[in-house]
Amino acid sequence: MSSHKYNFLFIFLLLIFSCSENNNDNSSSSDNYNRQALLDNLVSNIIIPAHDNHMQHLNDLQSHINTFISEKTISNLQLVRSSFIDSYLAWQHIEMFNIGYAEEIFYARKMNIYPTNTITIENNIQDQVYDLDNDPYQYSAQGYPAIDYMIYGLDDGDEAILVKYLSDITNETYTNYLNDLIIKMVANSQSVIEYWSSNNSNFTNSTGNTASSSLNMLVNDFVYYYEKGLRANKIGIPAGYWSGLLPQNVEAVYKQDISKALAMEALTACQNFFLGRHFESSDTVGEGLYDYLAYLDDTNYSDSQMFIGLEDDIVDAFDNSMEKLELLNDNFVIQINTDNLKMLEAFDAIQVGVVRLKTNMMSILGISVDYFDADGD
Amino acid sequence: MKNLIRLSMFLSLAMFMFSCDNDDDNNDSVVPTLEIPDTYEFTRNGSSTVSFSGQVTRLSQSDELYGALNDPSDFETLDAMFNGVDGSSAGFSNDDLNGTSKIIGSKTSASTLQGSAVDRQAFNDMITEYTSEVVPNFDLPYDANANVAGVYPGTSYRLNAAGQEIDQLFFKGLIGAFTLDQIINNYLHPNQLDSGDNIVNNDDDVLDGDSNYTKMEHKWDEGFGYLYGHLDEMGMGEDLATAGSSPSGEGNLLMKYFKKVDEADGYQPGVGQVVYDAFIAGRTAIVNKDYAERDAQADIIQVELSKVIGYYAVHYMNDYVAKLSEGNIGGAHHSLSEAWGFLFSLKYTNDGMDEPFMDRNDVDSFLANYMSDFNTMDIGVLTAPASAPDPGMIAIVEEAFASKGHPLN
Repeated sequence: MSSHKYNFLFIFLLLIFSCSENNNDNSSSSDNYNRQALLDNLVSNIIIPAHDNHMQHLNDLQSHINTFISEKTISNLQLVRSSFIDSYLAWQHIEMFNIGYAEEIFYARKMNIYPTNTITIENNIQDQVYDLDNDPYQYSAQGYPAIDYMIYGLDDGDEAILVKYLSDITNETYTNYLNDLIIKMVANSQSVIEYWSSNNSNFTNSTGNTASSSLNMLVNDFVYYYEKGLRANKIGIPAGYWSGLLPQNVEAVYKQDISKALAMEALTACQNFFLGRHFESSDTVGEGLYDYLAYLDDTNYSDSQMFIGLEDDIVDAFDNSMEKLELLNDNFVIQINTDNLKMLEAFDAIQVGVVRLKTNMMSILGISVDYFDADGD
Repeated sequence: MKNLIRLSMFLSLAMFMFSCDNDDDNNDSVVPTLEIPDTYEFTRNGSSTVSFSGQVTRLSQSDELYGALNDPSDFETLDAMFNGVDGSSAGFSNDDLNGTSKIIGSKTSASTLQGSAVDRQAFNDMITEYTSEVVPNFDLPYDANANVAGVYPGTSYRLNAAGQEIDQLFFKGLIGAFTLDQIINNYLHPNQLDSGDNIVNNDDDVLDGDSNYTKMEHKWDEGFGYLYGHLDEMGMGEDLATAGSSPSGEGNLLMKYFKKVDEADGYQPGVGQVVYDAFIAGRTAIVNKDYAERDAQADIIQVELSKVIGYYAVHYMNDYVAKLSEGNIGGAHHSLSEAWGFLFSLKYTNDGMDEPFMDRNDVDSFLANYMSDFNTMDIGVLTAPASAPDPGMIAIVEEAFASKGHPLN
C-alpha cells in the first residue's frame, strides 16, 4: 500500500517537473482522481446490467416472434408488439456504448438507424438475398426500426398486416424476414455482451488519459450519443433544425406514439450514466462523471470561473431537458405537425447540455473530442 | 494491486521518456518560429494557405437577401434565399450564389455554444410575417391606430402592424445570430479548431485533402472570413493592407458596424487594428503550434466584436428616444427596429469565458414583454437610470459589459 502511494507521488513529482510548456498535454491524467473506481462502477453497475436487461427483453421479443410465426393471429401479433416496445425502451440504455466489439460490428447502426429503408426491406423480402452482417447498405434495413415497420407498418390496420404474413404460405417471405431480423439482433447483442464480460477487467484497468484509454472512449461515446443520438436524431432532425420539417424521421415512426417515451428513456439513461446511478437499483448512486467533476471542483483543479459548479449545471441541464420533453405529445409526429416550437424548445434545452458536456466537461477532464463537427465550409 | 503498481511504474517511466520532447531534440531540424506578419497572409511552399470562399459566398448572398427584404418579395423567394431548396442555395439573381451548399439559414444560430432552434425559427417566422402581412400593404400608409401594416408616410420604412420594420429586426438579428456567432462561438472556439484529429494534424502539418492548409488553419480562416469576406460593388475583397487601419465596412452585417465603431468619431477608434492584429497573431500561433496563444487571441476577438453589438444596441435605443423627442416618428420606428435586432444579437456575444454578456433568457423576456408592440412602448423600460428600482435596458446593457470588466465607451 505504501509503495503504491509513493508511486503516485513519483508520478506527481514527475509531472510537476516535466516541461512547463507541456503540462496541459493529454498524455496522462494528472489529477490523481481514481479513474478505476469510476470505470468499475460504470461497467459493473451500469453497462453490463443494462446490456443484460436488454438481452432479456430481446429474448422475450424473440420468443413472442416465434409464437407468432407458429400461430399467426392478431393476439400473437399484439404480444410481439408489446415485447417490442419493452425491448426498444431497454435499448435506449445501451446505444451510447458504441465501444469495443460493438463498434467493430457497427452494432448501434445495425440496431437503430431510422428512418428505416422500406424499399431495401421490401426488396430483401422479394429477393430473399441479403447480407445483414457485412453490407453497409443493409444497416438501415434491420434492427428496431425494421421490426417497427414489419409489425406496425406493412399495411393499414392489424388485419391487413396479418394478411401479409398469412398470404405467403408457400414461400413465407415476410415471415422469414421477420425471423432473420430478430435472429441477427439477438446474435449481435449476445456477442456484445460476451465482449463486456470477457473484457471487463482490461477495460477498467485502462486508467490513462490517451485517446484509446477507456474513460476517454467512454466519455466521447457518451457525449456523442447525447449530441447526435438523442439531440439530433430524436428531436432536431424531425423538428427540422437542419432542414425542413421531417416528421417521418421520428424514432418508431410506425408506432409513433412511443416516440416521446423512447426519447425520455434515452435522456434518463444519459443522466444515470453521468451520475453513476446503478442500473438495477435506482436508489444507489455510485461513482460517476458527476463525482469526477465534483472532485476537480473541490480540489480547485481549475481556477476558471467557467468550471465552478459545472457538475450541478449539467444536472440542471438534464432536468430542464426532461421538463421540456414532458410538455410534448406522446406522438412526436403530432407534436411536429401541430406545434413544432415546443420541439425546438426541447432541442434548445438539450443543446445546453451539449455545451456543458462537450465544451466544458471534456475540456476540464482533459479529454479530446474524437469526432468531427461536420459543419465547416 | 500489483497490476496497478506495475502500471504506474510503467506510466512513470513512459512519462519520463516522453516529457519535454518538444523542448530539445526533435531529431529533424528545428522548425523556425513564424514572426507575426503585418497582414493576414500566410503561405506554405510558396502558395497561400488562406481560404474562406464559403464565407464570401454567404456574405454575398446576404446582400441580395437584404435587398429582397426591402422589396415586395414573395415567401417562396425569401424562403429559398434564406433556407435554400432541397439543401442547395437558391433564389439569387447572381447565379454564382445558387446551387451551392452555402446557405445562410443553416449557419444562423448554429454554433455549439449558442445555437438555438427557437431563434432560427424566429427568422423563419419573420419571413412569413413580412410576406403575409407587410408585402400585401407595401404601398399603403401605415396606420398605428388601426393596427394596419404599411409604409410610414414620408419614409421608405415598411412596418408591420406592431410598428416594427422587419428587415431591420431580421438583419440586425443576423449580425449576432449569423456573423458574430459563427466567428466567436464557432470557428474561433476549440469545439471547431480542435475537433477530431485537428491538433495532431496541425502539429504534424498534415494538410486537409488536396488543400494547402491544415484543418485548424482553415477553421480560423473561416472565422476571419465572416468578418472580412464581403465583396465591394466591383467584386473586390477586403484590402488586406489596410484592413486593420481602415476596415471596409462593406455589407449589411457585422463588418458594417465594426467599421462605424472603429472610425475616428466612433465609439472605440482603433478597434479595427486590435481585432485585425488578433486575427493575424492567432493564425500565426496556429502555424507555430502554440494553442494557448491562439486561444488568447481568440479571447480578444470574442470580447471586442461582442462590444460592437453592445455599442449599437445602446446607440439605437438612445437614437429612438432622440427621434421620438424630435417628433420624427417614422425614424423612431426605424431606430427601435434596429435596437430590437442588436438586443437580439446580444445573446450571441462571448465574454472570452464562453458566456454571453447578457443572459439569453433575460434578452428574450425583455423583447417579448416590452418590445413586441412598438406602438405601446414605454420609454422608461429603456431609459430608467441604473439607480432606479427597475433600471432601463440602456443601463442594463451598459452594466452587463462593465460588470465583466469590458465597459462600453
